[in-house]
Amino acid sequence: MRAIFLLYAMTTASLVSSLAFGEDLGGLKTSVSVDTNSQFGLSKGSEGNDRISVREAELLLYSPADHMFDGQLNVAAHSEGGVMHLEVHEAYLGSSKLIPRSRFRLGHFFLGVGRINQIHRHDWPFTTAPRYHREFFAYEGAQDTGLEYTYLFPLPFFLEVTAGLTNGYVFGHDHSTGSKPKTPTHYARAVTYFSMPGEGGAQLGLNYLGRTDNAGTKKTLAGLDFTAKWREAQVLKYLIQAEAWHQWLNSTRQWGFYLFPQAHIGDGFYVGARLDYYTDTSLTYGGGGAYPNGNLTIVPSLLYRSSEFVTARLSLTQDFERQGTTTQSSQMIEFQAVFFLGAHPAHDF
Amino acid sequence: MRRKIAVCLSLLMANLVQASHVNVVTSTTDLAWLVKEIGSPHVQVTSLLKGTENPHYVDAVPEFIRLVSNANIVCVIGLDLEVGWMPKVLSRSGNAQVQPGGRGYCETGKTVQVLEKPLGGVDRSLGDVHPSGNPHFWLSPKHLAQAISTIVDALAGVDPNHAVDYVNKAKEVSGQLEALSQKNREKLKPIVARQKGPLIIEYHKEFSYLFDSCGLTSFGSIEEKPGVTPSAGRLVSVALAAKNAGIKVAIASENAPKQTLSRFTELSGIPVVQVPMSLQPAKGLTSYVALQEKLVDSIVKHLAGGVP
Repeated sequence: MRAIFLLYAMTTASLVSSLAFGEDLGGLKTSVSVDTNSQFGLSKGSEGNDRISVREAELLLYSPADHMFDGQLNVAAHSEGGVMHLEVHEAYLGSSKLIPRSRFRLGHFFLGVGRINQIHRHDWPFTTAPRYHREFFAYEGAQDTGLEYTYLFPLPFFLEVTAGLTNGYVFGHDHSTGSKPKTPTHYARAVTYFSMPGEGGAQLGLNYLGRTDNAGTKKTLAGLDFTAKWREAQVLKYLIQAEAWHQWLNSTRQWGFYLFPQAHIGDGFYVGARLDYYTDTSLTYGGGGAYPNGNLTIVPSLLYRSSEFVTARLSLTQDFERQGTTTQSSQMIEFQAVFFLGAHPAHDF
Repeated sequence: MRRKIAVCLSLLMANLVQASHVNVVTSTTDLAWLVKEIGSPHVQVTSLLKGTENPHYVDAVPEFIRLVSNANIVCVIGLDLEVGWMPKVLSRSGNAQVQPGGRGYCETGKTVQVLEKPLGGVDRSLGDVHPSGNPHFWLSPKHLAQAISTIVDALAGVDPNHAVDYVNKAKEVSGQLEALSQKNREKLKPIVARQKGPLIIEYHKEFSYLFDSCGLTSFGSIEEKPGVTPSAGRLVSVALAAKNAGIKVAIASENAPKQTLSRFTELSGIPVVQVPMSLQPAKGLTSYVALQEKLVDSIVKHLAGGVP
């Protein structure tokens, strides 16, 4: 592992220095992002790992491969249980020039469903994933290898549909080789956009995902995602982001959602608060009858944005876990700092 | 049934009319005005921005992607002004013709004589520096005229049947912009002739091209580093320096932070005039001539002590 890290560090250093000295790298753009995360539990049973850590260090390389195709490689070293793992997050060939009104990618990528599943964790408007996302997808996002196609309809309003088919040997974030599924992972997303009062805009997505693993466990996900933004000059004045998902896992049923509003309060500071909930509605007592359970989390946060390239976020997680007649609560404080080097990050909506 | 047929026919007519025009999408309202001047009546032009935004800090909004997906030509300022959002808009549009290098991609900054191109190494410790030079050239009629050739090349490439019209119109527009530049110089001539040193300071280095074309000298910027809100210490030092140097007015875009500008005036006694940086059709500012008059008359008013 140390040798791999040395190789990773040397590759990054040589690439960055090549760009600094203007060597011809065929238009290759490089971007580095580092996400440090410090979690400290304030109560017994909290999820805090009580340490300062580099949660993720990511190297992104992208450029046209030729006149028709583009390529992207995203290699990340990230901490799992205190141990750094180096892995390929994305490696795909794509094009938006081959088929009119379309783009596709072939390779390994984060599946094109949902909102936060598609966005790199360091770009999320909050620090850690909501409980339902960890249960249904992964701590960051579900990624796999396959083919994804997106089509933009020729309509007087924005309507884009994505469909993907991936191997499905594993799901979520799994380092094993997995095994051939009975039904590979397949998914679809339809997204539209509309203006909001006060010079804002909003995006609404409808999502579906299905897979049946080798053991016959059938997983179906259906969800809605909503993002609304109001910008004033260089400031994101208001943000509202929400997702709601339902999972069918064989005969079990689970659902969850989050709602995250955020507002700019001046001088690079933003306040936000996430409310999320998760429950398994198929749990029953041994003798019958619904087993009450649920996880409610409230996460107020304070964000400071020094520039587009450096952010710091302080969050306080208040977690309530109900199992039957018992409810336990825990608190955790998190401090996250993210920085970007290299190519200008894209201002996705 | 007849009503449905009538609706379908009118939609078909509208599409046919649209199909006979070159559909040009521009990043800014100023480029939209220029393309319309050169391309009319053969073009239909849409600006992605409304003129009130700071073009550095815009998202790749889905509506932009939709508009670009239908475009025959996309015209941008370039010089990294739209680097944060336009590449994403273009790649998500699925429109091969308007991708960089395509015949419908028109980067107007390429043919402009760029000012303030940094010498030596550039990194983010210097603030939000544009490595290719200052992109705010559209505020100077003389420099905006230098962008005309890329627009004509794109229009003629996509619509060769009307190439002669575009070339002839471009010459006319170029002449009008030169005349406008000359008019600006005449208005500012008495002030320029009298100035023994700089008389004006900018909040952000957005007016370099306008000043260059009029012979005005700038004292510099209130920002210590571009794109970085000045610290309290910086405000004090630049306010006192400007006051001691006899600066008469500070000029800033409408997007500049009002609190910072008020504090500057408090410290220095120098008034700040905030001006639109682009045409704003929704607010009635639809002509480039009117924008120039607004800019130059604001400067003259404060430097000459009265409207000319």
